[in-house]
Amino acid sequence: MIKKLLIVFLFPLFLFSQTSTDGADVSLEFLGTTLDATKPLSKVQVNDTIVLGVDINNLDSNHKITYAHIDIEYNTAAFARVAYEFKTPSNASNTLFSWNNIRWTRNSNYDKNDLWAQWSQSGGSYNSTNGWNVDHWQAISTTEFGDDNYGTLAILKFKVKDAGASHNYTENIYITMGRIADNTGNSEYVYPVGEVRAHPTQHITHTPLEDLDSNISINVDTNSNVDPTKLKVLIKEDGTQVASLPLDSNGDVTITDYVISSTKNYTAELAYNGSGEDDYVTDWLDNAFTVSDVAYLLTETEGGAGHGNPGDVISNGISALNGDLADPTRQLTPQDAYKMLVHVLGDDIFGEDHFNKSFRAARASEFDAFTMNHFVNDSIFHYQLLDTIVPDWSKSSNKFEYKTGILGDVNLNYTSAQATSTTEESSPNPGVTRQTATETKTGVASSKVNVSSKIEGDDFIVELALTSEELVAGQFKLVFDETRLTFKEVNFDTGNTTTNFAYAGNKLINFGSINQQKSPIKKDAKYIITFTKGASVTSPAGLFSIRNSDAANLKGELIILDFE
Amino acid sequence: MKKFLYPLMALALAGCMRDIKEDIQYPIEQSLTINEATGLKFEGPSIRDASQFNFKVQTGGTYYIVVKDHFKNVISKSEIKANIGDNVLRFYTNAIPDGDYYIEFKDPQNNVIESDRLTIQ
Repeated sequence: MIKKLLIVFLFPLFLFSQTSTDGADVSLEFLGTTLDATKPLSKVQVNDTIVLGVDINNLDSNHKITYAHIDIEYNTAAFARVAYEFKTPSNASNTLFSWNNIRWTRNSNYDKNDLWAQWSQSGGSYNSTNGWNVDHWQAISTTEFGDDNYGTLAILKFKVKDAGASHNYTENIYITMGRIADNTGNSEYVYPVGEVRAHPTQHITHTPLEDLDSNISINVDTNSNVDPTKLKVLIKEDGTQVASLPLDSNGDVTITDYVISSTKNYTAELAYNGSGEDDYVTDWLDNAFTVSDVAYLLTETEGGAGHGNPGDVISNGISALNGDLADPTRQLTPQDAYKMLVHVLGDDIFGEDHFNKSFRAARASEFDAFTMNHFVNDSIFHYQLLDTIVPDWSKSSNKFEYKTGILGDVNLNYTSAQATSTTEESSPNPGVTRQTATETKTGVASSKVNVSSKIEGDDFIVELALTSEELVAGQFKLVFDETRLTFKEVNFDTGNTTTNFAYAGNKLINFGSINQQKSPIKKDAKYIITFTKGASVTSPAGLFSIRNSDAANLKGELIILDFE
Repeated sequence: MKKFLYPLMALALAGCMRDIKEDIQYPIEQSLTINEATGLKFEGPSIRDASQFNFKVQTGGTYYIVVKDHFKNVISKSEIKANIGDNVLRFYTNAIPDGDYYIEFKDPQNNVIESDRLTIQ
């Protein structure tokens, strides 16, 4: 019975004996390249010079290693040894013997990593083999070899070569055999068979990347209202994603490590990278795609919102693209305007996957050059999230630059600015700028809105009152304390010919008006929002805030609302 | 039967009593005490949700609490009825993004009576 138990308990130890738990380990440690010690093996290219340490780790506390010889073979089509340095004590006698066109035929009677058995026991041999060299690294010292983490015996440097597409790079640098001994006593102690192991790394196996030394990067320009750190770039190689890289605050990202072959196809795709409470629709789309955009487009397409001249209002090609939401494409029609109106009134025209359906990017050079003539003439313009990356490998750097926009953003408050050479017709909203914590907007003028709130009985009431006679559209986003208030209703006092809308989320109400009869919203128009308040609420202070606002005049131009 | 009658009568009498809670004058917390005749005092340099403030006036009536963001945009405005003397109220912050704000107390003629610059958390 005891015997059986011993066998059961000792069996795992027998298994472990296949790798070193005593004796000495010999390992071929990758130490980067001569130019970049941190470069991983997976990124090594043709013409890099890799650095390898021949490391010996003494696991036998009863003996000191003062002698070693280690044989390492390498494929000469894949590697050329260009330098070496022994790391043994200063009093050591070091020797290197090399043989060309020789390769070790492994001793199949023993583990291939049982280095002393491979050599001392019959079964293995060196044989002539074209394309393989063997180096015999030997050192003997009167003092113990050091215990450097790497390179106890020697540091080797190999130039990486292109051995051809059909070459097999498996185990192209390989520890074939080794002998370890202690000469400090009266007689030599040779570490026995089974106790000199190649561990943990016996060989280098890596198919080198092409010698492509171009730095490749992407820059995504965004409007100041669009935080580029909430965007990321997905890199795909032959259709398989190899990286997901967030942009930095300048919209930059380096993709050098992922675009590594001149023969494979690479694409870059913009994706949303928001997290936590970030929400693309609430933070960007609903602020970009607003009632003033509708008014602007209505004025363009039929003079419908105000006193514009149909077909002669929008002169910017990117504006037109952002508003071209309905068929036929490359024409601004009333159908485009009404589709936008439907969305602003609360019927989400995108439905789902909002970022992919509404966020757009284009090569910066094409974006900058795009005019209304290009739009009307249906010039090819790739306004999409996906682009093919084809670097010019003869250049030391390749920078792929993009500009971005959001569909529905006809007045360009969330769209990249075009280069000044094309902006003679581009800026629909010069004049007044309003900056808040969440956005910056520029319009042609400002208009005051009176705001107040108060507690009345069990209700909390917020009232907004317009003061202008020139507004054809207005929109407000109001955040309320959903832990203390329950939204009840919005009452509109905006005149008989005005279309009103309101929809409430958990803590945000989006409401407003647009007059499509070529007349303004009446002066002193009021929006009265009523909430039921919790019984414990006795103070009105801080129960709501105005997050965003938007308005347009009779020409469809953006007006900045100034609350007081 | 009597043993039920007396408790029920006691309950009925208690129900008819005038609610005297409204008449109790609670002392103002020391941190909100204003020694001058008028003034504005918050519990600390920052406003946390439902923290208190004291708005002390010599003339009772309608006043407005105006919250302006870092760029001086009005983002919230509330009407209060102030009594002569101390008016201790709560300030709620769930609907206001964290940041630095100007808090102004105005009279109906839009005159700024008191103001402070505070961080809302």
